[in-house]
Amino acid sequence: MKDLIDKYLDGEMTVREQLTFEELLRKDTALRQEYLLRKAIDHALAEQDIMNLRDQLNEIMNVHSTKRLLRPVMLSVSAAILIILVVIGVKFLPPQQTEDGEQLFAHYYQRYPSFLNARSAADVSEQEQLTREAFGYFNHQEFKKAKKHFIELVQSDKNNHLAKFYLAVSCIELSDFFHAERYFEELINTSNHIFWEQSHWYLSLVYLKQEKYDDAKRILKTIVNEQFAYSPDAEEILKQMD
Amino acid sequence: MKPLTTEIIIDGIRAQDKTILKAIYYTYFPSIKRLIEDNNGSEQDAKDIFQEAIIIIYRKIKAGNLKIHTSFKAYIFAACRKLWLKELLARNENMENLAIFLEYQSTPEINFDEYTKHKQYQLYQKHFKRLEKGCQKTLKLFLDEKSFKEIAKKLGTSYDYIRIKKTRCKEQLIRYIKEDPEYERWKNIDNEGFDR
Repeated sequence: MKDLIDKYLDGEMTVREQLTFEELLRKDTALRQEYLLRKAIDHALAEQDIMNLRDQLNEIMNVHSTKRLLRPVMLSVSAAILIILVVIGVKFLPPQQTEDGEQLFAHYYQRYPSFLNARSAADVSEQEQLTREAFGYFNHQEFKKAKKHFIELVQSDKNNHLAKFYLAVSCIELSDFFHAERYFEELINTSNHIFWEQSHWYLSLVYLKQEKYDDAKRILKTIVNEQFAYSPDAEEILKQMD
Repeated sequence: MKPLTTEIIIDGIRAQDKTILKAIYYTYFPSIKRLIEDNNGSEQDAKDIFQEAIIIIYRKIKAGNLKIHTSFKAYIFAACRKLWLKELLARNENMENLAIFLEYQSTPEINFDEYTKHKQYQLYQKHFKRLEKGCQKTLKLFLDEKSFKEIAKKLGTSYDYIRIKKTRCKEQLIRYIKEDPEYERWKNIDNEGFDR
């Protein structure tokens, strides 16, 4: 049965054999089921583009998740510590009404994942090489060196929003909130780049960290009103601030 | 650097542009993850659903029938919600207390053509990747409409050897597929014609 099906699918039957086989398919349900399965498998395997896309998405998501795998454990530990602190707080400390900017920043800030794997490569332009080096330092959490490289990239091309965004994130990592704020403000004032929503979110956190509450609220409200991807978190922060 | 507009996103998915795919993932996945985790799912479930939504969108782009009337964010969110709802129904979850079900009424209708076919192909492709590389290569060569004789010549082997190898690889693939519990769930395929 299987041989017949494959012979038919591989186009190795004579016209007479084909007609006989098709007659058999109409009569024999089991043969028909098996034939349809094998035909569908052939079609599925021809979808090389879909398989490539799935591989790409897997790679992106797995690189991302390995960085975040520790989170549930960290969260459990944090939750346990939080419970202990709450118990101590309830028993011994005077009640505090809302979280302050620094606490909100600590709770919501998460370093934006790296966009590039900094593999060295031959035959790349000077800019490309500089970008790779910058991300190499960023990936190894050497933010001082990363910042220096990103500054160089921004200076040579003021429209390099990728470099400016990661420059701002590097500034946060170095606790240089003054410059982080300046770069994110520049990024939100130029809307034609893919880090526009992200820049709003990080700017609001930078404002919170510096206790610039009115500015933070203004940006958070924009995030909510424009329904950016960060709007649920922005909404939560606004509720806590009120 | 280009803006992340719906048009750029669609072009990026069509071209499988890694930078745009990353941007889509980093931008939209957190809200999808929250949606799934708030409705009896895990982070891995969220990743599976997100991946399938992107692939379904890619299929629709390729077929020329992707129609986004709202924002891409609203579209992918509705797509993931619908996919997760289907998954929950298949898992026989109690739907009464799930926010996803309560909100379903307001979800824009997304008609995923040939959803069953998509799930079947996903299953077949998953097991194809389990085959050893030699088998994958042999089966792929046959998909390029090459004859046994041409393939034997290309691989520097005999007609009989390549025929046996192809049969052995395909049977192994079919065995993997039929052993998968998902096979029974999606095997309702007796609705196609006889065209090869």
